[in-house]
Amino acid sequence: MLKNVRVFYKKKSQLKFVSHLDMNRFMTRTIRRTNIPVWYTEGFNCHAYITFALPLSLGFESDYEIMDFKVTDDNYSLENIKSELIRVMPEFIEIIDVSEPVLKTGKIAYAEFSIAFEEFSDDIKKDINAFFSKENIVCIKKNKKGVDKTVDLKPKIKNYIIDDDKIILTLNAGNDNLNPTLLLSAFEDEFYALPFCAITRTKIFDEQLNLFK
Amino acid sequence: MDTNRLEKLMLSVQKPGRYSGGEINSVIKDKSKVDVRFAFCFPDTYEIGMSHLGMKILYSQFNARDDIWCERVFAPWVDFEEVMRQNDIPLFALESRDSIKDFDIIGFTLQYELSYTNVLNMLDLAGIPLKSADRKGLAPLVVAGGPCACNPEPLADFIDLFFLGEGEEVDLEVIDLYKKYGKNGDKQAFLREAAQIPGVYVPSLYDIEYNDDKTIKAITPKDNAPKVIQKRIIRDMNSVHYPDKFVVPYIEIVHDRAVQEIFRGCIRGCRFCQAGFIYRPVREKSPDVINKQAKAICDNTGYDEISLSSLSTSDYSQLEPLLNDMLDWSQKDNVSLSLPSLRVDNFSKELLDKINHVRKSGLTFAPEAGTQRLRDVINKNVTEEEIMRTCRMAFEGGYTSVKLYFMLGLPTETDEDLKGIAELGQKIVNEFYAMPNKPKGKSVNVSISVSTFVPKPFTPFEFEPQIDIEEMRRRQSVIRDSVTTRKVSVSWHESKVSFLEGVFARGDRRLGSVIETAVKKGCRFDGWDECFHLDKWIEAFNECGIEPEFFANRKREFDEILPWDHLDYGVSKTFLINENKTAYAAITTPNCKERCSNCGAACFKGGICVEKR
Repeated sequence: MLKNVRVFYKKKSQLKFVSHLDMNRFMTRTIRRTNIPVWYTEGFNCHAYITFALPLSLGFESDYEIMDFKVTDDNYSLENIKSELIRVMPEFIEIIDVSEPVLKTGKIAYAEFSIAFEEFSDDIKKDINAFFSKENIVCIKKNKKGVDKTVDLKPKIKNYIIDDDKIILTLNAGNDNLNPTLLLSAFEDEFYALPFCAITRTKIFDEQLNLFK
Repeated sequence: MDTNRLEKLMLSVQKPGRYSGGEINSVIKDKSKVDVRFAFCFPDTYEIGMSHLGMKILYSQFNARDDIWCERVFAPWVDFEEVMRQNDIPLFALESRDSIKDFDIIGFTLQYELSYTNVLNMLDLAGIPLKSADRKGLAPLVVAGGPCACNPEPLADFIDLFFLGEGEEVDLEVIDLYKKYGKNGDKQAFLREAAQIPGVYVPSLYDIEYNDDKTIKAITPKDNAPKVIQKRIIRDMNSVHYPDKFVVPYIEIVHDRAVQEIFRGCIRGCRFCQAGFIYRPVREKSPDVINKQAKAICDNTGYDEISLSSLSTSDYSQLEPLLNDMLDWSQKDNVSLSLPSLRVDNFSKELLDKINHVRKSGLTFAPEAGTQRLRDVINKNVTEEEIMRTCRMAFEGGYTSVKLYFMLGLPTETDEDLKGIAELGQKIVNEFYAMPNKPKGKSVNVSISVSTFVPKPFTPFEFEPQIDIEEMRRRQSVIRDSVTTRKVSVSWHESKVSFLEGVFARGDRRLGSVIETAVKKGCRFDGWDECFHLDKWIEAFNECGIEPEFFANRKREFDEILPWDHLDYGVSKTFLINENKTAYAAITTPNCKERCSNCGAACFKGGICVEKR
C-alpha cells in the first residue's frame, strides 16, 4: 500500500543559496541515498515523486519547510524515515518531524517571515510603521505577459509586528501569494533604500492561522 | 573570512550556489593538523569545473592522505569578480573560504587553451604575483597539469612546474618533495630537485634561442635538468585510485551525473585528435572493477544516471558483459546508463537496446568529414554505409533525431568535401523516410554541428597551417548554401575563437606577454562567446609586437624545432611525420587492436602495447 509522508525541516545557512528547482534535484538525490522505499512515477521518465508544499525564494532561510512523498511499503515506519533522513542530510538541513499529512497543500493560507535588519534605527521603524499603516500599498508589478499591473499589497498583509531588531510579517501564501521582498521594495520605492536584511520563513499556517501540518 | 559579509555579497550576484560550498561529500579538515594545503583550481565556472572527472579523482586521492587538505577553487563569473574586487575579497577556496594566497600549492588543470586568461586572472584575484620569477618564496608553489600541459609554453613565465601526463603518482611525489623543503624552503633548490622527478617539467630551467625567422633555434636545459621530459602514465588501471564518492553539487552543473572511467587512451589514431595520441597507450579497467566502482558512486551520491566515460566507449573490449552486469543493479535502482563517445562502426542493435532500457536521450555520432576521401585523410575509418546503417538502426529503435559532428578546415579539404557534409545529412533524412514502418506523424531532425579544425601538438597535423578567419567563414557558407532541407540544421563554432585557440595550441613562451596584456585589458572567459573580444586580443598582440598568424596559419617544415620538442609523450616525431605523409596520400592506418604501427608509445610498457591483440 502506498503511504503519504510529510517531512518538516529547517533549511539554513549555505542552503539559502539553493533555489527551489535545485532543491528539488538535491532532495531527490539525497533521498536516493537512503533505503526509504520511495514511490517512483511510472512514466517514460520515471523519477522519485517528491513535492514541496510552498516554494522558498533564493536567499531565504526557513524554519518550517514541508516536503511530501509516498512510500511503497506502509510498514516502513515514520521513525525509520526520520532517522534515515537525518543520516544523509547535510548539516544545513535539520529534520524537525516526519508524519502523515493532515491537510492538503492547497489549504496553505499564510506564511510568517522574520526580517532581521543589520541596522534597525528608530527612524526606520517609524517609517516602516507609517508605511504598513497606510490604507493601500500600491505597487506596480509585471504580470506573466510582461505588462505592468497595479496591485494593492495591503490586503495581503495579515499581520505585522515591528520588533527590536526585526519585523515579523504574516503574509498571504499559496494562492494570492505575497513575497516579502516585493513589500520591501515597495517601501524602498516610496521611501529610501533599507539596510541589508536576512529573511527567514518561520511558519506556515492554514486559513484559521493554525500551524500547517 | 567574514562569513556574513561574504554571504551578503553572494546574494547580489547570479547563481550564488557557485560560491557557497558545503556540498555533500566535500571534505573539511582541521587546518592545524595538515602539512600541505592544496588549492585545486579549475580555470572556468563552477558548473564546468565540477563536471570534470580528473579533478574528482585527484581531489579524492589527495584528501585520502591525512597530511594533505585539497580544496576546490573555480573562476568566479564576471559579476562576482566585480563584487570581489570592489570589496577586496581575495580568491578563496570553497571548503574553508580561506584565501588561496596562503596555501602551500596552487594547482591548475589546463583543459583548453582558452582558459589561459582565467589562470592569470585567478592568480591576480588571489593577490599572487603572476610571474614565477616574481614569487621568491617556495609557497605558494604554482603548478599545472592536464592535456594542455603537452605544450605549456605560452604559460611558461607564470607556472613554476608542469606535470606531464597522468597525475595520480607524480603529483604526490612533488607534494612529498615540497614537504621535505617546507614552506620556507629554497624555491630554486626545490625546482632543481623537482625537475629530476620523471614527468615534471620546470620551464625556467630551459633556455630558448630563436632564429632570425622567429622559429626556434635551440632548447637548452640548465642546472642538470633533463634534455627530454617524458610524460607519466598509470600502467595498471585496476589498482589506480578511483573515488568512491563525488562532491554532489546543489546547483545544476553541465554533466550532472555520476561518471565511471572505463579506459584511458584510444586505439584509433584519428589524425586531428590530440587526445588520441597524448593519452596512449590504451589501458582498460576490468569489468568487475568498473562495475563495483560504478555501484559505489551511485550509492554514495544518489545520482540516477551514470556515464561510462572514455575517448571511445564502444571500443571497450568487454562492453556487452559489462553492461549486462551493470544492468543487474541499475534497473532495480532506477539508474540510467549513458554511453558517450559511440562510434558508428561498432554500434550494435544490442547496445542500443541496453541504453534504451531506462531512458532515451539523443544519439550523437562524429563522422568528422563529409566525404570518404577526407575521412581517409584524417584516418577516421568509418564508411558511409556504416553511418547509414547506424542511423537506420537508431530510427528503427524509435529515435527521430540524430546529431552529427563535423570539422571544417581539415588539411586537403575542398568545397566538394564541404558539400558532402550537407549531402550526408540529406541522405540520412532520406533514410528515415525510406523506412517502411516509420512512426506516423513524426518528423526527423538531423543536427549538424561544425567546428573549425585547430592543428594541435603531438598529432600528425602539428605541422599544418590553420585556415584564416575569412576562409573559415567562406567554408561555413559553402555548407550552409548546400543544405536544402529544414530537416537538417547546421550550427557552427565561432571562428574567431577557433583562431585564438589555434594560436595558443602551438604557441611558444613569447606569447606569455600577450596573455598578460590581454588579461590587463579585461580578457577572461575567452571560451564564452559573450566574454570573447578579439579586438582586445589584437591590441594585445600589436602592443607585444607578436603576429598571431605566425603560430596559427604557418606551415611548419618537418625539421623545424617545435616549442614542445623537448617534451616526450611516447609517440615519436618520426611516426607523426610518416602519418602526415600517409594522410596526404589518403591512406589509412590500422587501429591499435588490428596491428601495431610502432608509434613509440610502447616505451611505457603498458596496456595494449604489451597485451595480446
